[in-house]
Amino acid sequence: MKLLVIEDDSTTREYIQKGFQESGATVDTADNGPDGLFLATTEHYDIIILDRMLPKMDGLAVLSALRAANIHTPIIILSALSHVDERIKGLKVGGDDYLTKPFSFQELLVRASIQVDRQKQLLDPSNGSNTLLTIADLSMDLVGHKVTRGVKEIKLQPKEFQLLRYLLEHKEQVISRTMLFEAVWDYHFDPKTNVIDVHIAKLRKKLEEEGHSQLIYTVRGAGYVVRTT
Amino acid sequence: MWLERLRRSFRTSIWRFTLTFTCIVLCICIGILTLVYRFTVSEQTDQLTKQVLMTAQSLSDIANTEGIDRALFSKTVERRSDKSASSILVLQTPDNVIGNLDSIPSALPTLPELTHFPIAVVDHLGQASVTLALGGQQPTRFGPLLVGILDDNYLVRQRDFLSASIWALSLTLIITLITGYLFNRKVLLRINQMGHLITEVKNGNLNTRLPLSKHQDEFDTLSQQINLMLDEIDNLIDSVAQVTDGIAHDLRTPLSRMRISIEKNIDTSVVNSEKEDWKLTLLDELDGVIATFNAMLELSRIEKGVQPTSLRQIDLKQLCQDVVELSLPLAEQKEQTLSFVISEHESSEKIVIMGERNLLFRAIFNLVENAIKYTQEQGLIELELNWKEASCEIVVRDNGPGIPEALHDKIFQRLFQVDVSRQNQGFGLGLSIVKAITKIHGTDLCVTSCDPGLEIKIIFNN
Repeated sequence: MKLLVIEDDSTTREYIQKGFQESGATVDTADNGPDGLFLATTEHYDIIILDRMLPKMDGLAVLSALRAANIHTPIIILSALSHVDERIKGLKVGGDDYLTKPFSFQELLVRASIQVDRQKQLLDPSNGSNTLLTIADLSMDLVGHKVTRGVKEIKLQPKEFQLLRYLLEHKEQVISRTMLFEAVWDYHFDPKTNVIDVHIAKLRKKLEEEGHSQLIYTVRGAGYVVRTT
Repeated sequence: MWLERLRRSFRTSIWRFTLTFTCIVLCICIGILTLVYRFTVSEQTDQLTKQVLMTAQSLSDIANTEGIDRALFSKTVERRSDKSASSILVLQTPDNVIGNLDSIPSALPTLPELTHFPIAVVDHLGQASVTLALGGQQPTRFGPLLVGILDDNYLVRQRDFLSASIWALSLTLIITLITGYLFNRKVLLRINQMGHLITEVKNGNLNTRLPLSKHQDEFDTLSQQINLMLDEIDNLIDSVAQVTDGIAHDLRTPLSRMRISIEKNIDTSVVNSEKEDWKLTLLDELDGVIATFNAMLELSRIEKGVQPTSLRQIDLKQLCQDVVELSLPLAEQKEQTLSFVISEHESSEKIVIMGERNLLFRAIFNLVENAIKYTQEQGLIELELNWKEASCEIVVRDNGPGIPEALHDKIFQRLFQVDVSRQNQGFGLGLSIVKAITKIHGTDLCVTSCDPGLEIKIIFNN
């Protein structure tokens, strides 16, 4: 994966760079709008992480310039502005995702890989149209709307089904509570309560009853992950 | 509707002013009419009175002249009464009555006092009619003498004057009232325009301005001043927003760095290490700080209002169902019953309003979550959606401990908590956010105690 980070704050930029490099990506950086725009138009990237407020040229201006130049690389906007209007503005100009500062690096990593996967799927629709999701002895049939653990079918409520599906689609990735809330309920704000935890606890109880092994793990300070061990 | 509008326009100060003005005009009219009456109708009566008194004086002088006996005086009276068609002279002697009438009517005052009295007259065709005469009696040494004059126009004159006066007064009254009503309406229209603007501004729509007319009148001056004031307020809010954005940017970046550095330093491969645990606690604490900070900024942002472009048609029913679905496990944890009721509406139909979906969801969720949080185990929480023709209500009701009525207004203030001893129950910003969200949607928020428990209502006026 090759990515471009356009961020004026050196500490944040370096951390993002270091983090992605550790996960095996190639990272280019720019600390202002014009430089970022230049790199984005001359090089090919899988994803661009773009700060909303940049010196010389605003993040949104960079974004609209890129879209006008017919460059459709997925872009995640990082912003200190959390208001819902700002989010809508960012997505309207052509951003693919919007993350408010301060953010968890884990979350940025997962969001980036989701965007990259989505782009791949757009370019090659045959890839990834999986109708059966599995982990350990758990399988989820998306067509038949059935979840089984071993041989036993587990009855799930619609939202529980969606929660599990999202976790399974991104298994072994740490998914934050906000991401789950956005993906399953489709509302954009931080509910700031343990409401997602309660939903996960209910789901976990159904999946792990009768002595089945743990599948959903809590990652403190980050979110949830589905993995075998 | 129009009746209520009429009633409202009659309650205005301009209407009171119009009424006072009308009364003054009427009084002036009555004064003028009295003067006119004095100079026309009563002037004529005065003339006749003078004539009668002069005749009486001359006859009395003749009666008092020496050498005049009764026969001579009677003759004089007779001759004079025949000579004039309008004057009436009657002398009543002990033997006979001489003059135009058969007798002197009783209860006639003694001159110089005069009165109108009816007499029967026969015209040249032999038709008898009753007419009025003005006169009085003059005592002479030959007997009482009636001196009078025919005043057959007296009643007609009086009636004509009266009807002319009534017409004039009614016309004045009608014209002043109509003019008053028209002025009133015009002024009221402009005042209502201002009232409407103030409501718009109150609802967060700070871009509204008052229209100016070409006349440059006092209302235009006032409108101009209000517009200038709104410009100033808008500028101030903008600069506050810029400052908050600045603070947000300046503070979030270091917070961001801090979070990233802690996160990066956590070694997930080490389990149950005290050092790692300490870092995780630090991360939790930092997340708490960030959450409060975000909520405060968010609140200021929401209070400034939403862009009209963010408003969409929202199905309130779906929104409420989503809230219930999200909050149900929270209620189940406390073995509470959370129910959703729709009343007075076909349950298959959508209930659509214009609003910002995320914000409205948040407002309703905050209310439901609050109800769950403060209601005892096994309590009842009800979310109700009432659809009426003129309005739509979202009601969140619980049978928890409730809130003393004196504190009902305070619960929407920032950082206010009913029970200060409650720990870890949020930042006291949840209801402030609800208030801000409902305000920018132009809805009313209403809190009532329902013994036991609390009921919070969001009222959308259609």
